[in-house]
Amino acid sequence: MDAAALWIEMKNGDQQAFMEIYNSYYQALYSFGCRIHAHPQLVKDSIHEVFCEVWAGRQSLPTVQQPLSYLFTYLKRKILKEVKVSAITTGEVTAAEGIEQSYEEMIVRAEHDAEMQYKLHNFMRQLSVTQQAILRLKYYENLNYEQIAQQLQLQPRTVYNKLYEALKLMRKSLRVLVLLAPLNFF
Amino acid sequence: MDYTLYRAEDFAADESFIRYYQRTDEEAVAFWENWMRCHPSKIDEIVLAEMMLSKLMGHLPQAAFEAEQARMQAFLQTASSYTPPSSTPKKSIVKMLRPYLVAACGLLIILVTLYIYHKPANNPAELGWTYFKNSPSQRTTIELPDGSTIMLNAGTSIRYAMSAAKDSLQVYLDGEAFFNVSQHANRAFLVHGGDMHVKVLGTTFNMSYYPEVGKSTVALVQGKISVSAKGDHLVELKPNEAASFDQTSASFATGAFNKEEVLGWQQDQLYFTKANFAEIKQRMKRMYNITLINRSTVNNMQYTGHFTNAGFQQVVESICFANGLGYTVSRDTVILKNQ
Repeated sequence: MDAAALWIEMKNGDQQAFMEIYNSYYQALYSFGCRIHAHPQLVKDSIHEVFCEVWAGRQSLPTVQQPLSYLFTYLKRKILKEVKVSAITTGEVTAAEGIEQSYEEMIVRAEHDAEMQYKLHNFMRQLSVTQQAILRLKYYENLNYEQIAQQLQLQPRTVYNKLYEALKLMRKSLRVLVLLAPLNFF
Repeated sequence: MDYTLYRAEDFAADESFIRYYQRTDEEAVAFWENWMRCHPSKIDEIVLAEMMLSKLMGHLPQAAFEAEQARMQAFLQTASSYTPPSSTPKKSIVKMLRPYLVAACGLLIILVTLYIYHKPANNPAELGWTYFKNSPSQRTTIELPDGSTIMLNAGTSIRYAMSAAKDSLQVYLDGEAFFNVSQHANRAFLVHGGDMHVKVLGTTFNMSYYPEVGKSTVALVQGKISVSAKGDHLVELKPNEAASFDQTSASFATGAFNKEEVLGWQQDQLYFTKANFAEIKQRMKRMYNITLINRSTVNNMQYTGHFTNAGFQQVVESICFANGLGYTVSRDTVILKNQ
């Protein structure tokens, strides 16, 4: 079933459809939210509120072709509003930027499992500065190869090759863990 | 482009695959879901690619995501008891009632606190509970303070505590576990799984409690245990006997059990015996952390089968085949459909 049809079912009060939308878009919304505001708790709370409001007001929601972009806009407004409120109440001017952290730090910290954290840390340390930058631009900033090539003044093919090497290395670094726990892919 | 030659790193570097993973492009989502259906043998590489992407994109870790899901589910449960506010007058009623609701909540919290504070036995603070939660797709063996060991099946959690006088050790089970209890002349070892309670005297046995289907089962391998359910049906089990209790029908049964079926999980064996959808769904969730949704018109599906060291795809395929169904996989959700 496509997303637009699922949206209509949800509007008609289908809880399963609602949870399906929730499950398929949550992580995309989470990464998106973290890009606007780096504090994970505020992002999680905002996403929760967005979905609560969507469900409670489902009957009066517009029929949208692309639920994800609708939810992106909704979440962005919500976070910016929250940030403004907390900036006023706490008097902090820097609230909008949240906690500044490097890409490496962010992906290592996001991991809860200590062993995996160690593997990720090791993996990131083995990368060149350019490779780290490419990973960040590709997976965090969500740019395509052309855009990354322009920003780093490289050939798109070179960008792809460097990224590919990094991913191969990542696979190798993670495999050690996978061998220890054969079923632990998820 | 021949995707069948792709490995995890190729998928993870592919623009269209990334858009599928992020769900930002309907076409890519449809393409890759269909492609995966046609190439089930590539599922391991795909799963690995998705895991790499999840780490690189800074996604919320699975455990934290599940906590958020539970929070959403809790909201849905409370929200379903009233119809959504569609007109303004209704909203203002809610607003008018708000102070009272807040007061009621406050009172409730005070009452609960008082209750916990005054509850004499089993007080977690008094007994000092140790919690342990096993992640899906993983088996773990833990050792208790009295030297007994417990092997936990995937997705199982337990809490345990020794009484202050050190004369009893209590274990609460949610999921399935194999117990190897050391003998202690003057210490009681008690295991609780829902409404079923087991008193142990130096034995090995398997026990499961699945709150999502309201069923507790205990199977004795050696030694002696006494079992009760809802304070009733007190029986003593001999080796090779099992007892089960169903919360919904409040029925208690004892009998022999099939060793391979009950204990096989310790060797990566997975058995289904006349399992209905609720049971299949529950076990897929615990074992693989896969959420199964039934969108087919088959309401009375049943499945009997046995797997050794199988991936989730293999299990789903076999279940679908037996019931004449098709399915789609999207991340950790599998949707069963009519073919």
